Amino acid sequence: MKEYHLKTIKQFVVAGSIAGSAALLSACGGSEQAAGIAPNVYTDSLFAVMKADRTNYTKLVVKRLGPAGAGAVKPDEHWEDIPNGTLLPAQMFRAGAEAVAEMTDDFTYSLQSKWPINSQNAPKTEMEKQGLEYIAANPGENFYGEETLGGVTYYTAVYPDVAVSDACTTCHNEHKDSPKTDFKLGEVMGGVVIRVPLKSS
Amino acid sequence: MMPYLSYLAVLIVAAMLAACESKEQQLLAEGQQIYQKNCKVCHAQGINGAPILGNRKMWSARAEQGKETLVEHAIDGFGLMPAKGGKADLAKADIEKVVAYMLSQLD
Ligand code: HEC
Ligand code: HEC
Repeated sequence: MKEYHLKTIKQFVVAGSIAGSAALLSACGGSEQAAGIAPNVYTDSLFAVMKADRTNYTKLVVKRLGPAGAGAVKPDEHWEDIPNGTLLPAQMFRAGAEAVAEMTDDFTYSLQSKWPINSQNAPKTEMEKQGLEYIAANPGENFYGEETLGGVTYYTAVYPDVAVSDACTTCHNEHKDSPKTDFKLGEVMGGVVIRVPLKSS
Repeated sequence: MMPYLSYLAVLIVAAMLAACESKEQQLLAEGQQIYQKNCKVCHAQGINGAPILGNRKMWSARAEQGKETLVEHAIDGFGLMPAKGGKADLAKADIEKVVAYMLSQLD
């Protein structure tokens, strides 16, 4: 595998691989030497945070305070029109992605599907399509690739988003804008796409 | 006469042990297959907090409950884990094989 340095994280000494870690550790003396991180370790780490936040929002807010719990908030697609409305987890996720996009171009992420309710969430690049195909055909596996867009080479990772409860399948299958109406529990419904610009060293 | 008999006995015991061993291997291999088809989608990634295959940290407290309880939880559903992972047609024996396989990955 080629070695990459991601633009933004040269300052950090993070071991991307066992082979690299000895060199990185010995570079700790404060020299200007760039410390690399394998791009998949970087995107995996970003995804771990996204996944934890999404699960926690679902578990600690939507489930606990929603109709299945205290009934204090109402998770709804049109949450803005409801005084105690709160975002669906997918919308919360997108709100996060949009807030990040306002802050930085160093990475972008989105929740996509080949069968999106919101057509904005359809894959756009060839690699996104390929990635979504791959994770649907290989449940539990991630997809990693490189693509060049507008002259910039990106590392693109795609992580599966799974129908974890009947709520996922029922809402999507019955939604008027859903192009697919037979999602099943445990099925890969879409994926999180994380894209990072690369600078080949 | 005697040495032959004991030699034979050793052979038989060895053969029986080998058979046990391969029976167990066989069950684990079946468990792995069922896992890949039905459970991996969540348990490879930790989707919704599913304990990741082979991750001792995530499994230790759960594994302490014992295989019986884990099988029960996998069949009935448990917290954010849907009953049988959403595959209603899986038999109890299937779930038992997967749980044995999952536990074997912690050794
Ligand atoms: C109450 C209805 C509802 C529930 C429950 C629900 N979703 Fe969605 N989901 C939506 C809506 C509406 C969107 C579009 C959000 C947007 O505008 O970006 C969406 C978007 C998505 C997307 C992006 C592609 C698309 O369809 O636009 C994925 C993937 C997704 N949801 C997966 C899930 C999963 C997995 C679950 C269960 C954990 C789930 N959804 C639960 C309504 C729902
Ligand atoms: C849709 C996602 C999903 C699928 C598919 C799935 N699991 Fe799980 N599983 C989970 C989650 C989430 C948890 C953690 C539940 C919790 O503690 O709230 C879990 C926990 C477990 C546990 C530990 C229960 C305990 O007592 O701590 C076992 C055992 C288990 N799953 C077995 C299976 C088996 C066997 C399959 C396949 C037949 C399977 N799972 C498929 C999501 C899934």
